[in-house]
Amino acid sequence: MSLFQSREWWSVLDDGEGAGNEDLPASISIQVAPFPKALNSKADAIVTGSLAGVLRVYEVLRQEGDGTRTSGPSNLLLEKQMDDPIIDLALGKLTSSGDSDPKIALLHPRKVAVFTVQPDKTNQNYKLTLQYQHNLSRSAHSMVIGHFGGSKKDIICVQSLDGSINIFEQESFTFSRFLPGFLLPGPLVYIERTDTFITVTSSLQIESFRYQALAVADDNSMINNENNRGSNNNNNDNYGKSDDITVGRKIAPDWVIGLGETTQALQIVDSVRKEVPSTIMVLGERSLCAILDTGSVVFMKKLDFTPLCMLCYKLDNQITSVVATDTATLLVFQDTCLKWASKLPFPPKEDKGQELLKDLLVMASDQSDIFVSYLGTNPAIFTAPAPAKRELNYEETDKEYSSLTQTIRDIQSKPDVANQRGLAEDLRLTLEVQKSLDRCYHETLVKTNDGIPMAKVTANFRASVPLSKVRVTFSVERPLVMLNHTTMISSLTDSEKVEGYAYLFNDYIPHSLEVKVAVVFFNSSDVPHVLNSSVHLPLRLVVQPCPPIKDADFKVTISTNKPAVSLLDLFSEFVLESNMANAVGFQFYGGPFVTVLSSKTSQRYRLQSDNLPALWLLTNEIEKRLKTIHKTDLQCSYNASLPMHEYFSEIETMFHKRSKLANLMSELSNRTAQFRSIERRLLARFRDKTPTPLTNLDTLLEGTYRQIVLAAEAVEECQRELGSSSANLASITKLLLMLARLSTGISEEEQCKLEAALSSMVHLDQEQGWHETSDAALTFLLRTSLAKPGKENQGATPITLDMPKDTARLKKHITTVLDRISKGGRIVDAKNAIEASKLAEFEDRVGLDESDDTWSEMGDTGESRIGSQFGEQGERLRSARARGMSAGVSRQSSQVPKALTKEEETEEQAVEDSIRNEDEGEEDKEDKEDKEDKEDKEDKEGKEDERKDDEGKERHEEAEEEEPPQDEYDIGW
Amino acid sequence: MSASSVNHSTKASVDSLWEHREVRFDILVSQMKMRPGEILIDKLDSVEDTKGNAGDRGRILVTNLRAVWHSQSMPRVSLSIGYNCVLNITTKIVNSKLRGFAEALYILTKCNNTRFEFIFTNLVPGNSRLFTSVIGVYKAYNSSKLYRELKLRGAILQDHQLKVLPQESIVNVIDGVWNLSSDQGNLGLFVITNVRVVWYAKMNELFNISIPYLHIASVRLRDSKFGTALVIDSSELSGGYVLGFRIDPPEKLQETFKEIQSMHKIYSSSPIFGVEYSKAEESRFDEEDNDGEDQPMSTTQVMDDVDEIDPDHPDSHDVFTAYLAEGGFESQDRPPEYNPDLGLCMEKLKDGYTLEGLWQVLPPEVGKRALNGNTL
Repeated sequence: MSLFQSREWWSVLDDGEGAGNEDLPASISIQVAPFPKALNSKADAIVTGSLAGVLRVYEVLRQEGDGTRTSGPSNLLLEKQMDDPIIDLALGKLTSSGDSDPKIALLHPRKVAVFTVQPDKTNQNYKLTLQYQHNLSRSAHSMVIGHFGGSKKDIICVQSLDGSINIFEQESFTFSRFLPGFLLPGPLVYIERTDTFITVTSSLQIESFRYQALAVADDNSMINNENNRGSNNNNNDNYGKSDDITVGRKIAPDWVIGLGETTQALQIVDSVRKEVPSTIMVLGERSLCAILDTGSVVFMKKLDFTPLCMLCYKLDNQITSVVATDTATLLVFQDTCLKWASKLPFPPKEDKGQELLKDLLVMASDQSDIFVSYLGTNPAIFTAPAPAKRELNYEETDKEYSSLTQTIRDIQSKPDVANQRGLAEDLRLTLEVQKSLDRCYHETLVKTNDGIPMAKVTANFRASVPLSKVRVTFSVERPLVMLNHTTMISSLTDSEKVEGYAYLFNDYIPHSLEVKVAVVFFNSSDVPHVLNSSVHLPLRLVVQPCPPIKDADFKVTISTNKPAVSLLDLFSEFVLESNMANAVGFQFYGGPFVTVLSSKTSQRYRLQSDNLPALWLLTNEIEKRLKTIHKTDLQCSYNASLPMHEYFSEIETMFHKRSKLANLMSELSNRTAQFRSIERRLLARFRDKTPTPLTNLDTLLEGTYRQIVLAAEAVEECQRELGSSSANLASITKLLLMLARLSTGISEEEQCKLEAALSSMVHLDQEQGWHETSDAALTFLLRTSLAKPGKENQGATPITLDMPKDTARLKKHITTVLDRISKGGRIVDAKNAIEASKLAEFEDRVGLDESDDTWSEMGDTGESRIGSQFGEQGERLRSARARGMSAGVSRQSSQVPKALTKEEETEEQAVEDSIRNEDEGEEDKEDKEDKEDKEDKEDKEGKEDERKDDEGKERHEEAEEEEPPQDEYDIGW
Repeated sequence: MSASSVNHSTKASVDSLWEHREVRFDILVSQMKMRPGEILIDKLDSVEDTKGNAGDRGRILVTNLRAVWHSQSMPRVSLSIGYNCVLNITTKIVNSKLRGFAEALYILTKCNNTRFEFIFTNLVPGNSRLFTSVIGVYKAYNSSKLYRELKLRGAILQDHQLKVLPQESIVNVIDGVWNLSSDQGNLGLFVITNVRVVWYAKMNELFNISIPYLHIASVRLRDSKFGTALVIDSSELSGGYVLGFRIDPPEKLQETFKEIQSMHKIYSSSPIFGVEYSKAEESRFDEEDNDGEDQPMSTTQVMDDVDEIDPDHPDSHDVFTAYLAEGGFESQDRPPEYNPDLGLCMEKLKDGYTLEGLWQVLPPEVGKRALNGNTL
């Protein structure tokens, strides 16, 4: 912030002619000169040359007492568009003609041209005449003119980008020389007094070279160049020499001063008398340095700002430097003392950004605006006044305030909301499944006569800010596969579409039609984000209608409380014959048949098939569709027995497949180990310099190779079977859980927890298999939420997740879990349970008429999550039970079926025992201790049950009265 | 060309075109309407005038001649910034009342020797259309000056042919036209286009003049010492040039005169300002941010109900003070004077002030004493 401003005296804004070419920096070079004498003697001229190739000459009139001026059309004396960019321009006596008018030398990338400007006969207009030009064989960097070698005329010196110095004495080329140790061009200036060039090398040193030294160093190269002179300029044949400059190493600088930083600008301040050395002013990155032409440093001033350009002159034996900074401040130093500072309207262009027009400052901006200014002396103490207050509407302000506070509170209550909001704003994802299916031409293992369909899934993205590296992943469950399942969008600016195709690949029964889409990206603040979304594929992708089949091995009957819907309406997307309203068949592509029957009179739907897994998808689909038709008041139920036997046999099958796969894998590894050792032997024999008989090792190798191939094939086959088996298992698990839900009427929350424990996700490619993880989860469930009364406090000892020896234990646990649920066991979060029990007690006290439904509602009030929180729940549950306040337990006890047979009880007892025994690591002793334990337990349990029953009775007298008959719950178990 | 020419002249129709060369505050509804040839290029809602009306939601209209902002709650509160006044357009990080720290459009202007600065903040986060539109249109305006400015001795020719502007088409080329600016006269060519009249000398292509119809105050025939001559008066804004041309024979002169006159008339009714800006790259997202009001004039319909002149309003006379970039009026720049201490031109010092006195924060004697005290 500067107290003083720069006053504008004259300015011209660039008319953006170079702006048409965006690649071109709008940089200009400026030179100031008293311009042709034929003009008004008071006029000065500003000559500008831009990289766009426009040469302009402005006339600036000075009159006494004249204030600010603006640029008018008559200020422009001359404007000429050159063919090439103008890198640099210089004014001087560059022709041999006697007149003293300055000539303009323009430096183009490959050319230096000299023009004269002369008024025409009207004295109002000017003619620009080319005097001579030299083509350059090397790209030019900068230009210096001066009376080199004591010449009376101005001589041009062009520094090329690769470090050669080319001297042009008017129409003739004089010589060309490489500077030693050159890397990058730096500023170049000439001192007339000592006849030296000063430059700053890329080793950050200031070096001084005598012109004479440069001129004579070419003696031995002349001979070499005699033969290969190529005339490539208009005026001088000798110029060809510069093509082959081999000398240069002999040239040594007069003196060298290490500067240690790069240089913005060099300027020579000539001394008045010949005897006194001139001063070289060096503007570094952060310093201002004065060096005599003899090579001694006068002063160096460290600057605490970034200078852009400078202008130096001698005043009263002191060097005055005008330095402009990148913060648009102009500083006037006298030697090292700051004398004045002033604010500029813009930071001037770097290097050669300033000139003096007599005593006015001429500056060029990066935008090629030219600004002629003088220093203002009026302190700028102005600050903009606050805007006039407009009447406030207090009511509205209050309202806005409260709504904003509310918003803030909402946001603060959800810690992640900031990210989520950013997410939603950054990227919107919508998924779409094409209604009509395409025919699939891709490779598939499904064998059908007519081919299979495939579904197009489109993910539409709309980004509000540009995002890069957006990764889109589609995933489906086998046997479905997805084409283009991973797509990388390198840059997402507006909207983008990613398409994927889903179709059946393996020839087994699908258990899920869900397509999950995960989008990973970095949001605008570089925070990684994942966006998840899913969509269901149409049923038509996997099944086709067929005539119904009467008999089948497996049947599932679902009863509803609504009149049965015509199957034609229920499966409206299929082309069904009109007689199929009550019975319709579906066939999985290349797989089993499923027949769906609906009975109008009994409000029931029956699904039957010879293949149990095939039932799942359609059963689920029917329930879903019925729910959408009937909305919320639909109640479905299932009354038959759960297909436990089939389930167990599938578990068994899968288990066997797993064991088989493990065996096959070890077989394969044995064979390959054998193969390698045979190879080693063979190699040793072949290496031996004296040939030895192979002793049938080759036959052995071949035989082992065949075995490996066979084993690998067997593994592949087994993996395929395992895939099929796992899909079946997943289907049946889902079906089983669904049927369990329908028959017991447990809440969705509990269903979720149950699903988490008895997972339908069968992972094949990890070491831990489904059997052990499911068993672990079920055991946990049995020890905590579903524990027998009085045994809740059992600690959750670590469960080893090794592959079990057999599936008996798992089966037992599954049976027990389902059994307990069917008998009213509740998988509830202990915390909620406590609240529920308290509430219930309270309500009992006030004598409200409570039905069983209230209980389940109570249990559901809280929020909890599944799976991951089982441990947590368990802990809480145990602590809760220690206080004997678990509603879940009390309810269970209240509903302990009296119709339990002795056998059932013993079986349950055995399970209980096994769980406990496993905890103690005494599995082996189970059988031995079984009897003893049983007796003990029976006693204990009997007592406990009694106690619990009493409690239950006390608490739930009313509830029990209204409880539906046990039979309804026990059906099918 | 000089400062005085900025005075508003109503003499010529073009001089009444103020939209692009003035900054006006609280403009009338009629002034907010597009004039002939003015095109609405972009319209953005939810833009805050951070400097003068902080906390107020407004709308910015970007035309090919100016940027207009008006408040949405009080349509009378408005600004009109002609691009010709603009010295600099950049973006700055500002603290907006409605958005907090945000990147804002910063416009520095100069009108009638007064500098104003304006800061506009787009209230929709992540929307950079404000910057792209205004800066883009300003660039387009700046690079199309030949449409709107008289040019002498310019580089308007290339390969002995007139460089035709993008929206320009040549109507006629008339050979044998004498420019009567000097005693001898100069033989040259007239090029009549739909935007301007160009004359250039055959002998020296740098001797030329390009005068857009926008700056032609009148075209007439007049007797001169060279006989009947075609006289084109340029507007005062462009410097008030009187340009005489002689064409032989008289019939051709008459024809040319009529042609220029009719072209001038056509142009006056539907001017071509030459500002082209393509919005093609704008994303659809941005458009959604608008409230669906397609017609910019819909705001003026609302405004018709508002009393345009509100003499009771306390700030109707000094609304612009909020935008002043520096001292403003009372401190007119004083003329420059050579300062021997610095060797540079300085503004004349006020009586009783010295350079030292202005620069030194502490009086020099005190400073010295303090230094001595320290060293001793």
